[in-house]
Parts: sequence; structure tokens; C-alpha cells
Amino acid sequence: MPEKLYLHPITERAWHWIHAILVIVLLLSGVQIHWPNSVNFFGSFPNAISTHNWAGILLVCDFFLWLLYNLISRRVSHYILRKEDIHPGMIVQAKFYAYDIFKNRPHPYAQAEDNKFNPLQKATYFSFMFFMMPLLLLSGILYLCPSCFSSLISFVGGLKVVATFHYIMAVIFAAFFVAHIYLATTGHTVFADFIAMVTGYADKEEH
Amino acid sequence: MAPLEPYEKVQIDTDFLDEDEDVHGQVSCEKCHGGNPESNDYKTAHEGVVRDPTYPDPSKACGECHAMDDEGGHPGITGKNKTNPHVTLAPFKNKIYLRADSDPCVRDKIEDAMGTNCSACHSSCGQCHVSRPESVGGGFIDGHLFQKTPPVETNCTSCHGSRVGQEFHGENEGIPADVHHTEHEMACKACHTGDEMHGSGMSKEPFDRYEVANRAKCEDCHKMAGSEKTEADKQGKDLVHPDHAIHQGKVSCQVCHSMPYKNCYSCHVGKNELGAPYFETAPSKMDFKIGLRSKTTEDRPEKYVTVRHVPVSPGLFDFYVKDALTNMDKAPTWKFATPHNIQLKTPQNETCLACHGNNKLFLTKNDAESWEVKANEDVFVPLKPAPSVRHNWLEQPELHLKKVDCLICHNPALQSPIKDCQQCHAVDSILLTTAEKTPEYSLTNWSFTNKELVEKGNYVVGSNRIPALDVIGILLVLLTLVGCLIHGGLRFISRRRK
Repeated sequence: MPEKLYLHPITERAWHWIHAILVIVLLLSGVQIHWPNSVNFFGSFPNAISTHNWAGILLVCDFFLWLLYNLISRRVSHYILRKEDIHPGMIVQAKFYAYDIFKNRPHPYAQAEDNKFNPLQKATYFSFMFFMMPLLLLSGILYLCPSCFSSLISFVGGLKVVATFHYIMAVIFAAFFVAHIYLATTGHTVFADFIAMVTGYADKEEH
Repeated sequence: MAPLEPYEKVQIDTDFLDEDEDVHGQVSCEKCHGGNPESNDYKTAHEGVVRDPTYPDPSKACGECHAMDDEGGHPGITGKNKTNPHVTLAPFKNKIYLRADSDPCVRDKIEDAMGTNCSACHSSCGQCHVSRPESVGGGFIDGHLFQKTPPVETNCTSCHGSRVGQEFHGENEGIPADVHHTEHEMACKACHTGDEMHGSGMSKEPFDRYEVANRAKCEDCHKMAGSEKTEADKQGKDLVHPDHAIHQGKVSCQVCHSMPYKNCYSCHVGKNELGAPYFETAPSKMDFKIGLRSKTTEDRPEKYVTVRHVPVSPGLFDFYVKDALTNMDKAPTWKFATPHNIQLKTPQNETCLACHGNNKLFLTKNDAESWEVKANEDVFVPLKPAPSVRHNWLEQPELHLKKVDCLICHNPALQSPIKDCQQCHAVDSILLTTAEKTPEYSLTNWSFTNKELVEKGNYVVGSNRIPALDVIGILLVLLTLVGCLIHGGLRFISRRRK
């Protein structure tokens, strides 16, 4: 019986799955809103708009709860790259995904309760959660209430700029979403990371 | 109106005696005015002389030449006198008696008061066609020469001056003159014909002055564009704006085209120490109010009309009799009005929302004193929720109201407003005025689809997109997916080989 590590406390798991559901709903409704003549997931255009708006508002709340939780509990440290993570960590991890994984070699960085992400995960999650997500949410908030932020919207070039930026960010998140699900299969078994995100426990790997 | 010198009031012009100038000069004085031309004595010579032989009954002075009845037995020009509101003041009196207490003693005192203070404001054949009305001091218009059309300044606006005259001539501060005056120099008669003035065609006295037959109507000159016109139609500008089709029959012309007008409040009549009648009113207010017209008619079906406050108050006759008007509730104090300061463009017709949802334009209980609330219940407009509330089924109603022309959805050609969002949020959006093709998806197409909308400052989600960005976006997601599948496939193969 392998040793278990408690990597994901219940608050993080709950946040993660709520976040996942909201992102899926937002992507699907966003696709319908962008191509209303070709796609109909939610029955009607107003339904898609309404769903997108409510899911967006919930995502904003969800994001701020996550931020607050991580700052207060100091678990934000999981996302901070250490010096050795940058060099040689990121290159080693990239080499693993590009080559070693096909040789069935073990992960170069074992998960630990105080350091659960590998260097590439840290870099990706940090940039997405601390830069991309706030920008996506900010553009969504401006888009949601253009009357309230009319001067700011005018300053950045109008609603067309906000909408285009929101679309670009959404596309990047959609691509990230695909890659994220795939990379979750690269644990020591295909489902190991999924199980860990449900139970909170991961098997301790030997290196 | 400048006052006349005493001699100007009474001096007969010698032209009056010239048959070519005025045929009336051929009729001897006593024939109309009475008196005894045979007498050399001042007193006996003037016995029975009347200043205005046409009031109240013109049949003796005018009837011989101006028939009382025409050949068909209908009232002639003189016969119409009985139903002529300028003479009888019936519409005015009717409203007073409607409000009056039913006690006969009280009504007698009201009649006395009106005889002293109010009824002087009548006119007559002579007081329009020969002299100024007595209520404004009298005096010949032009040395006793008869005027077929009474002059506007000396006769029409000498009585109808403080409201209609000032409105029409732009004498109210900040309010321009009526466009019919400034652009076409039209006088009263251009709209208000002799038939209307004389109450032609009425079998009985009109209860209300707007019930007068042959009264002026905007539609006499202004027809809907494309409608058939008879030869009798006068030449006014056609009603080409689509708003006319929407509002016709529902909203009076003045609601959209008149400016703020004078409203009068509270009137009290009495006599001073010398026994001379006087009246006092509260200060008038310039205001613009839209009210409901409860009694619509076939030829005036509009429900929403401009209303003007009339200077009546419960204590109007207190000097003569207390509590005379105990039935104030029976007639509104905000009355249907046709202000005479018409403009093509007004603040309330600037945009749809300048009127719709602009609650301060509509008459409500807040505009009435407590004693007149019941009287005006049928005139008050029940306020509807603000347009943003009424459109709250839309996402971002404020933005839609600001950016979308109301007529796009409230198209008069359709039976009901458009509520399908995808009529606008689509490739072939109805917001487009030019035909657009299906967007060309290519990496080189970096301009917005339906860019006409974007160029107008309206980004319409679902209608505007950049095809090149769409291609890049779809490729990015697909390539990520394909990359993951290849990576996963290679992992699977390598694990099988292990």
C-alpha cells in the first residue's frame, strides 16, 4: 500500500470543481453567444446570455474566494516559483513531457504536501490565475455592465475592443482547459490526479 | 394693444359714407342705432340710441340684409348668433353651472356675479366687425368702416391675448413663436374660418368650445404622406415622419409639437369700494402637461392630449355667495388645450425617450391641489414604469435603449414589437441597412463582420466578429487537442512496448 499524501484540502477541491463547472458553462454559452446562428446549447440566445452572465458573476466570486483563501492560508506558496524551479526545474520538467514520459521514467519532481506542483505547473497556474484570469474577468465585468463603466470602455477603445479582448482570453482559456485535462492524465496512472482531486489524497511516488 | 385716444374710438371716417368703401354707410344711423334724426334736441334726438345694435340680438340691425335663415331653412349668418359661442359664452357658462351648487338661490347669485364680472367678455357682430370688443375698451377698428375679417391685434388677441396671442407671437420668455406665424405669417383666419367663429352648423349651443362644428384641425392642412387629397385640402407640409403613423389617433398633434404654455390658477371675482367689478388670479405658470381625454370623439379620437389648468377655484364667487361651487368634482380643472406655439422640433419629440418615460411631462395627482384631485381623476395619466424597467427582459436594457432606435423593434409595419434577440444578434441583423453576406472565414479577413454597425459605434455580439480571429481561435483549440491526442497516443504506444 503506497504512502498517501494529503495534497488537496476540501476547500481547494470544492473550489476546483465549482471552478471547472463554471468554466465549462462559460465556454459553452460563450460559443453560442459568439456564433448564435450556428450553435444552440442553451435553447435560445437570451438563455445563453443569461447563463453566461450568471456563471460569470459566480466565477468572479469564486476567483476572489480562491485568492482570499490562498493568501490567508499562505497556500499561495504552492504557486510561487523558487529559483531552482526556474533553472533547471522548468527545463527538466519540459524534457520530461517531451521525452522522458515516453521512456516511462518517473516524474522529475515528486509531489509533496508543501510543494504539490511541478515547476511548469507553477509557472502556468501562476500566470493564468494571477494575470490571465483577472484580465478575463475584468473584461467580462466591463462587458457585463457597459453603462457602469462607459468612460473606461471608451478609454480602451470601445466595446468592440473589450469584446475582442474577452474573446481572445476565452480562446486561450479554452486551449488551456483542453491541455489541463490532458495533463491530468500524466500522473503515475491515468486517473491518479483525477482521483486525488476527488479524495484529496495522492500516492507518494518513489524517486 | 395700444389704447385709443377718445376721439379715435368714436370718430367716423368719411370713407364710411363712400358706397365704394363700405356699403353700410348708405344705411342711415338711426336704422341701426335708433334715436330720432328729426329732433334738434340732444336729449330727444338720442332717445333709444344703442351703442351696439348687434348685441344681444342682431336680427333688427343686421337681419334685413344678412339673412336670419338661408333658403334651406338653416340659420343664416345672423341666425347663427344664437349658437355663436363668441356671443353666448355658453361653453364657459356651462362649465361654471356644472360646478355650481344646485340651490336655486345660489345659482341666482352666481348668475348675478357672472353678469357683473364674467359676461362682459362676450362679443357680437359689431364688436368684431366694426369696433373692438367692449370688454377691452371698445372703439372703432377703422372709423366705423366694417371689416369682413376682424384684425388680429385689435380684435382676436385683444381677448385671446394673454394665452393664445402671446403663445402664437412668441411673447413668452424663452418660448419661440408659433411656426405658422414665423414661417408662414398666418393670421387667425387661416385656420379659424368664419364658419367656426360664427358657430355654423350647430343646432344648439355647444357645451364645450371644442364641440364647435367646422373648428380648425391640423389635419385640414397636414395630411399623411401618400394619402389622397381633395381639392378642398389646403397645402400644408405632408406628415412624412414614421412617428405619425404610430401616434396618429392616439396622441394629439400638440403633445409632440407644442412648447410649454401658460396655465392659470385660482380666480376670485368681486367689486371694489366704488362698485366696479374686479378679478384676482394667482400667478400663472408656464408648463407643459400631457393628460388623458376621457371623452374622445370620432373626429378627435386622441387619448393623450395637452391639458391646461383653468383659473377656476372653489372660492371663485365668495364675494357674492359662499360655497357657490360645491360640485367642483364634476368638471376637470386641467382642460384639453391646443397651445398655439407649434414647433416642428420640441424637447419632447427629440427622441422617443424624451417623452416615453419622461414622467414630468405627464399630469399626475402631484400636479393637483387636494380639492381638485377628484375632478381630474380621468385626466391624470397612470404612470408606467421607466422604459429601462419595461425593457428589463432584455439583457442590459439601458444600453439597448441608448443604442438602438426604438423603431427597429417597435416597427410600425409589424403588429407587435420584435422580441426575438436573434433578429439583431445575428449575421443578417435587422440593424443593418446594407445587405451583408455570410462572413468569409480566412486568416486574411481582419475586419469586423457587419462593420457598418461597428462604424456606427455599436458593437453587436453575435453579429460582429473578426473572421481571422475566429479561425485562429478555433485552430488554437483544435491544435491543442490534436497535440494532446498525439502525445497521449505516443505515451500509450511506449507503455505497450515496455
